[in-house]
Amino acid sequence: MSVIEASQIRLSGTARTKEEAIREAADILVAAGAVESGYLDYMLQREATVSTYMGNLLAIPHGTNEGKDTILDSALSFVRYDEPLDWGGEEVRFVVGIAGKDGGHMDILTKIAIVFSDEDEVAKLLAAGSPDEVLQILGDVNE
Amino acid sequence: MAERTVELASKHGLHARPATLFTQTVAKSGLPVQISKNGKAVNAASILGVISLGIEHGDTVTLVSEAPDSDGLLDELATLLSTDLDAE
Repeated sequence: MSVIEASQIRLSGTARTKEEAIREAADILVAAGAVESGYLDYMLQREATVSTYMGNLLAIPHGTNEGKDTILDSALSFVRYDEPLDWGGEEVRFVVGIAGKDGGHMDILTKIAIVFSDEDEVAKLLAAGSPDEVLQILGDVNE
Repeated sequence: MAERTVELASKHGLHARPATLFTQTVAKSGLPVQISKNGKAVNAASILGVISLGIEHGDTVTLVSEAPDSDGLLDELATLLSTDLDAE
C-alpha cells in the first residue's frame, strides 16, 4: 500500500478548529484502512502534550507511542484549508496526519519535513489545483 | 567558533517532540547554531530543518556556532541530544 494516495488528499478541508482538523485527519486515515478509530484519541493526547505545529503553515498531528497498536499500516492524510486554522496561536493551512507502522514514523516525518522546509515547495502546495499535483510535489514519500 | 560532535540517544530518533525541545532551546538563546549530519547543515532553530535531516538513534551530528559566547549553549544542546528524550 502507498503511504499516500489521491483519496487521502483534500484541497479544501471543512474543519474550522484544531480539534476538528485532527478529527478530519483521523477520519481520512481510518477510511484508508491505516488506523483503527481509537487512533484519534492518541492524536488528541499527543496534541495536548506538545503542539505538532512545525512552521511554514504546517501541523502534523500523530498519535502517542502508546497508540501504536491502533496503527495497521503506514499512511498520511493531507488536508489544505482555505482559511488559516488557529493552531495554538500559529497559522496553519496544511494538516498532515501521520500514522507510522513499525518505526516507519521517522522516515515519513523526514520526507514531509524536506518538502515543507522549502518555501518554494510550500508555495506550490498552496497553489496546487488537484490531488494529483499534491502527490507530485510530495513525490518520494511513497518510495 | 564553538563546535560539538554528539551521538543521538533518543531511541525513536529526533522526531517531532524531541526536535521541538531542541529547536526551542536554540531559539530561546537567540544565538545562531547550525546542526549537520553527513555534511548537510541546517539552522538548528528550525524544526522542519532539523527533522529534514532524519536523525536516527545512534547517528552522529555536529553542532556549530559562530557566536563568541555559545559554549554554554552548545554544551546544553549536546546534553539534550545525548539524553534519551523518549524515556521521559
